[in-house]
Amino acid sequence: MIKLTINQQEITTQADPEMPLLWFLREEVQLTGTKFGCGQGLCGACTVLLDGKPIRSCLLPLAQAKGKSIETIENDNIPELQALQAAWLEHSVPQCGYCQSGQLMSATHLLQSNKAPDNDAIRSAMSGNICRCGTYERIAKGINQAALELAREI
Amino acid sequence: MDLFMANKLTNLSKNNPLTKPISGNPHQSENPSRRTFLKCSLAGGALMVSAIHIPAAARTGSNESHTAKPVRFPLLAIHADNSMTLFNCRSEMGQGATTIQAQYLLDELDADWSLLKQVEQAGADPQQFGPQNTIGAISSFLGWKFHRDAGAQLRQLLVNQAMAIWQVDAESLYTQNSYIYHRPTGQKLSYGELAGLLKDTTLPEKFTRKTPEQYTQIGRSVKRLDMAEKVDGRAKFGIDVSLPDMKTAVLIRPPVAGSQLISFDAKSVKQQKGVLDTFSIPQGVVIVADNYWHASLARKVANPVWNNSDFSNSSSHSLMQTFRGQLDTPAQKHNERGDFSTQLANAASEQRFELHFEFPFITHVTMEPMNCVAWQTESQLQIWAPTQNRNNAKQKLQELFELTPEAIDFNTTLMGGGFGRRAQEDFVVEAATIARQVSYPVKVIWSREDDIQHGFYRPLNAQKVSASVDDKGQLQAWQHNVASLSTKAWHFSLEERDTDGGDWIAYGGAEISLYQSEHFSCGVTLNKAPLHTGILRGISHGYTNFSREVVMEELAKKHKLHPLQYRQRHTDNERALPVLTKLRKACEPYEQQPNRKLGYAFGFEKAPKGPYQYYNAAAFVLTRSNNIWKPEKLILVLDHGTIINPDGLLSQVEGASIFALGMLLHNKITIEKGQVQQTNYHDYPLPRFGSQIPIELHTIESDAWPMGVGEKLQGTIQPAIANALTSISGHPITQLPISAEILQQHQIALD
Ligand code: FES
Ligand code: FES
Repeated sequence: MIKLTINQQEITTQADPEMPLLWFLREEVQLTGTKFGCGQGLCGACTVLLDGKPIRSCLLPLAQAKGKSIETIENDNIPELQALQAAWLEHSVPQCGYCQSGQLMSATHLLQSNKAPDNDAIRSAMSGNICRCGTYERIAKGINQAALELAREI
Repeated sequence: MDLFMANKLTNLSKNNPLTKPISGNPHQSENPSRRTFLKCSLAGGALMVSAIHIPAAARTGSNESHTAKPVRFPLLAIHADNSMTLFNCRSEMGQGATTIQAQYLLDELDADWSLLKQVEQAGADPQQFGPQNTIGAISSFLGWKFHRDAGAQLRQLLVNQAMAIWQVDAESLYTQNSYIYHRPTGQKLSYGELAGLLKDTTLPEKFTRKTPEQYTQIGRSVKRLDMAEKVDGRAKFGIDVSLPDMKTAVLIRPPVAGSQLISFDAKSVKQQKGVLDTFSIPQGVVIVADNYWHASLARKVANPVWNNSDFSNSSSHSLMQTFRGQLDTPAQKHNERGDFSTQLANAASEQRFELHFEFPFITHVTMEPMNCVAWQTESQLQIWAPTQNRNNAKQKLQELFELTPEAIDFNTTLMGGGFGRRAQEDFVVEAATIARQVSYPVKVIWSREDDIQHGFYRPLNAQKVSASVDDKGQLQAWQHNVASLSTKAWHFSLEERDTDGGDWIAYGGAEISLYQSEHFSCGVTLNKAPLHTGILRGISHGYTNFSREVVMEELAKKHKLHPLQYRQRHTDNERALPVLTKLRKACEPYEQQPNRKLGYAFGFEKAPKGPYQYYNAAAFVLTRSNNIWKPEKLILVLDHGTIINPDGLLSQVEGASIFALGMLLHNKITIEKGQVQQTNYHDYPLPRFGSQIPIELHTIESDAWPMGVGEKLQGTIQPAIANALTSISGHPITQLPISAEILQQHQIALD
């Protein structure tokens, strides 16, 4: 039995403790917004926040999420994520969209830890997330705009 | 080595597939064996415009096929409350196909964009409805006439209805934002209200299409309709489809292409946690489990033994050696003109020029790995597939399992990237084959390793371009030879498969040039191998145009001419010239400066007949600071016809430039003993955040047929970048990917 919190909701599960968190989210609790891209920690499509830190859920056994709090793209209660989502729409960031959950979760953590990231900070926060459609330019714009919006709200 | 000539010496120019372009068939409406027309109907208070497709067999009266019934294909519905539903008949990969259809329809209809409330994905139609395929940036092209006509005719029907109701003439009426107004009285009726009053839904034969100055949606940067669901995890891709009692399957495919399974350890597999079933199908060993994790764990104990095909004696190295040896003695000749060999033999050595090129196997690595859900119920085979080519996939299933079209319920999902990979139907066939052996719905998921090792590869190829010039540098003779693998056995269109036309995707572009030269020849040698080959963004233009543009740049420099001027001197094409002129102008501020270097390229496609054509040109600017050369910008000029969505265009251009960098700097699949060596993103790397290049985009105003962009720029951006590097190093780039040593040696930081 494993207890964990996903998007502020407590969950108790009997699922295989060795199963990577990614597949638990996708197949056991139907949170399919988190994506499978490589299964090896190389592409970032599966990025979620674990106690506030971005992790590659394809590599994290469910057992290690025990007692932890997980935030996914489906969470509609994170101000940074909301600001990013609005900026993503404004700049029409997604193309196929498949990588974007991971991109947004990485960017969420960036803005939670750095209110005004410069280009280098953005690059180092985002370089783990591949976008095959090549939306990087717009991702940069989206992050900058969300940072501005958040600063304005305070 | 398992290689032999795929084709005897033939002149295939008659079969030049450009006359029946591989990218769908723009001339379809002119093809007498097929016909598609528009029809309107009322259903539940909604006015619906549909395409009716009459397959060939139905009209010729032949009874060869029970499938030849006319097929209805909904496009748009106007509801009583004046809202609208769009039925998306293309595959959406983020290229904007859905939105473009809506722009066409709503513009001609004079409808209110904000009333478009719903988008539904239309299923695969029981017959080959060609326009449904989404390949080669075809969406904007094919809908140009069809969807606009649908909107215009529907509008005319509503206008006629209003005239009858109000007993007024056409001149006193106008339409705007989904309403019809009677100018003198100010009376108005919504389209939805009018629809409810229609007695006769026959579409009027007389109608007019808008002229460009009347467009309200075409040319506007409307937000893509598929955007909102892609930022909050709601978007359902193929891999997200879930059915009650669905199980997950993985497949172990032979490491050497073309090999057969001898045995595997079914007993051990069955003992693994969560495993429900394991069996073999022609494609490999199937493991079905309660979830993906358990299925993929069980792979480790399957121990399959394969009867390796002769391809196990091949490597990319040995193949390339064979190709090199074939460049002087091509098996086929295309579009020969004049007497190339005599001309070259008589040319003085300083008037001759020759370069050899080599390009690796590359593969798509769409972010969403291949997957498909299939369920064989008692009455139907149900499919949920992220495919670019639903009709072919469905037809293949019908043929393989001898099913009627009604016996297959085909659903197309969103796709996490396509780039040509999802034009193939292999992943759908596999899933269906598995589903027919079990009693539950099954989702087949490919790992990234499966995707890279068992994909479809843009074929390895060698090229030789030989030219001779007169003393002013003007081309006299041009020969472009290509040696590669045959592609026809897997051509993405079943119609082209196993035909000579199906090989065009290995060499296309080499056989047609806009650069004038009295003597011309294109020689092609294609070899057979069991490795899957196919189209990849840019198709063969990605490499044939690369070689041509590197050679043109070298010839220009050799004769001390501006590379763009040199190109201008060699063509009188009325759409190519303005593109080149505009690029020259845009480049001026960057030229002739010690710390800046530029490289240029031009690209085009032009069907011998019909409107399928585009022209573009690129310049890549490198600047030096602190002794390091870095990209400053990519300047592009495009004449891709009418621009439907400027921001969508820009986003495609941005993506195309990143994609081009991947091919230039990283992408390479190697084969040893018949096996693909790469496995995942660590040994098949892609450009990451930070590699984006500032883009300066210019377009030529045009009312020509619109062409897509993302796919069409690969053959232009890559040689422009390569030529810029050459202007630093002095050595033309003739092999991809560009080696890190070259970049280091010349202190160029590209990524
Ligand atoms: S799927 Fe986890 S990093 Fe790629
Ligand atoms: S939007 Fe397609 S992979 Fe990023």
